[in-house]
Amino acid sequence: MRIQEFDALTADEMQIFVDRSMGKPNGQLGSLQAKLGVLESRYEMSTDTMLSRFRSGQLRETAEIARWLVLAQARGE
Amino acid sequence: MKPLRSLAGSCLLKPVVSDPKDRHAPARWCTYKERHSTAMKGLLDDQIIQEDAIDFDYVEGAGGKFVYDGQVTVCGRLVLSVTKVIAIFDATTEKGNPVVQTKSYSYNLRIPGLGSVFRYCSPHPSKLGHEMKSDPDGQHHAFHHRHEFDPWGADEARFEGTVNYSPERQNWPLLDAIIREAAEWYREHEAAVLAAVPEASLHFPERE
Repeated sequence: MRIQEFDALTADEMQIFVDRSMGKPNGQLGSLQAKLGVLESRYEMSTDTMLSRFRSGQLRETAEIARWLVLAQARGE
Repeated sequence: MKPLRSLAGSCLLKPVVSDPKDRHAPARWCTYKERHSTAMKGLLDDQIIQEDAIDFDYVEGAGGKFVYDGQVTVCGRLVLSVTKVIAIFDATTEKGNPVVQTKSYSYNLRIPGLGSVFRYCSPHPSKLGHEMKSDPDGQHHAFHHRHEFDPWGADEARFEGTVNYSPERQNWPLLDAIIREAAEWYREHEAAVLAAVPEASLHFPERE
């Protein structure tokens, strides 16, 4: 969903996003998981492995790794 | 405003944020969104950006997080990749209008097919990271930092670049200031960029 589309949302509609995001972890991270999955497939490693390798200095901070780190934080890292 | 700490071999980052008020402080979602929309509209009106393709996502069951992820065409030839996580601090007091704040981000400017120009990042979950000549101890990972690359340089300057960092969050620019910085960089390097990217045909092929 493009950010521009938000102007048309009512408070009730926005609250649905808030409620879903504020809910307890349910293993359904939706499109975020899909984005992480694309990166995991491309690099042939899990997000956890990427984080471990990054922390140990085995993985260089590239543009894509930097994006992956941010998305991993969205997941709850 | 304190100057950014400069590491060996790196240039001193020009201060971009001049507003003494903390524009990074938590804000109501409507305010946050309005600031973003107004800034992006101004950039479109000024013809600094041509395509704003940033998506919004909420992260289900993640304790209150929104995600902005996408790309913006700058000056018709450059691409700024934008990824940021927005944390919800208080969702109880106003329906559909929680208090939010940017938690982490990465803004990477690149010349498609050539390489990155600069990248702003929030702190990473590591103090060590990969060794860099301009920061052999990996100190920058603990702070807001800015990488700078030379797209036409030798391998080290092109791919590793140099890094500046600052413990002062307030020193770090907002997205619209970064886009204007990208446009300024473009104006200074227009001839070289046009030679590298002769056609304005950016359809973000480098991301799925």
